[in-house]
Amino acid sequence: MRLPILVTLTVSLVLGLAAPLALAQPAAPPAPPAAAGEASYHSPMRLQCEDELRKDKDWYADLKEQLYAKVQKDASTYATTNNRHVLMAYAVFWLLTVGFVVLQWRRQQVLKGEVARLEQELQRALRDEAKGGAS
Amino acid sequence: MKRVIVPLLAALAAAGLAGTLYLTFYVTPLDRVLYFNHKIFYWHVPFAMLLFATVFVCGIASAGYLKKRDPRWDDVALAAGELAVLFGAIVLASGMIWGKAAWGHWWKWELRLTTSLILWLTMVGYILVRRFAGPGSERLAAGLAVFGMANVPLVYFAVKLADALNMVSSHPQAKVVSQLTGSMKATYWLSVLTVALLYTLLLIVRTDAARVDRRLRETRERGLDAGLLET
Repeated sequence: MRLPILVTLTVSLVLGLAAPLALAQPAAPPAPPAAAGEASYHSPMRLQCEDELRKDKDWYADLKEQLYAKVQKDASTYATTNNRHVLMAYAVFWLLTVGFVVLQWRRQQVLKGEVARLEQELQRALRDEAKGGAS
Repeated sequence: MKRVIVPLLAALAAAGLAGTLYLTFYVTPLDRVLYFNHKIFYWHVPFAMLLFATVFVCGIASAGYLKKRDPRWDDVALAAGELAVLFGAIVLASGMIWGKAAWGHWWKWELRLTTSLILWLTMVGYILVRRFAGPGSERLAAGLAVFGMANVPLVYFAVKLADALNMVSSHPQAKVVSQLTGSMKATYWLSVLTVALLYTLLLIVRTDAARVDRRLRETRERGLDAGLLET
């Protein structure tokens, strides 16, 4: 009974650690360009906008400043409010430690059962010996 | 003696845990770079310190067993080995979560992380050899534990070694701990004490269980040899 549980736990731990490693692999190569005949939308204003941005430096600078501000504000909000990872880490501490303690408690129960069984067997053996000696 | 020590250690560890949690979440300020994610530091680093300690205990006890062939050394080595697997799993998992929060990636094959993984896998190997290698597995595993102990300085100095080899290392330097001040320093050292108490408690309990298990097996074998017990 214990062997399958131990093997399962070990495999689960290894897979649990290997999953993030798989996620850390380099990104997949970009998808191939759409086949001829497949519709993809390009705004007719795009080239005109890019042309205007090249000509109007102030407009380009304004847009860049607004985008940077927004990106920085989003990153700052995320950094200051994110507590998800702390919860995950503390859950890991508790789950692994409590899991180990529960495993030890179960081991203690098994040992107690074995001690009781051994005591019974010894008493039975001693009684049989005493009967054999008496007869 | 154990009936006094074990409950006392448990009570102290529980008090330390409560105190550390209170200090961590209500007293220590937010880190100016990591903000709330810095709270992981107060457990990740103490568990890492005790991981090194328990690997050393396992290695020294294994060396003692190899030299003296006294099974009591082996009981301690087994207990320390299991705790090394537990603490290593906690350190690796919490480190990955902290890495994701701080650097944006779960894992990088850099020196500190890779050597830590190797150390943990060595201790997992120790437990697997003890469990499955049959007669004489204690001595085989003891050799593995001594090898694991030799790995600990490599893990500890990995960040400095990475600097010396001009390798990129995103793991913080060990000197971060000495730079702590005020409530952060107090919380950190209370956390270290709490984890040390927890470790000592678990080591005593697990060593005791290993000793009882070994004596049961020896008694059963003697009973079988004497013909008193049936298989």
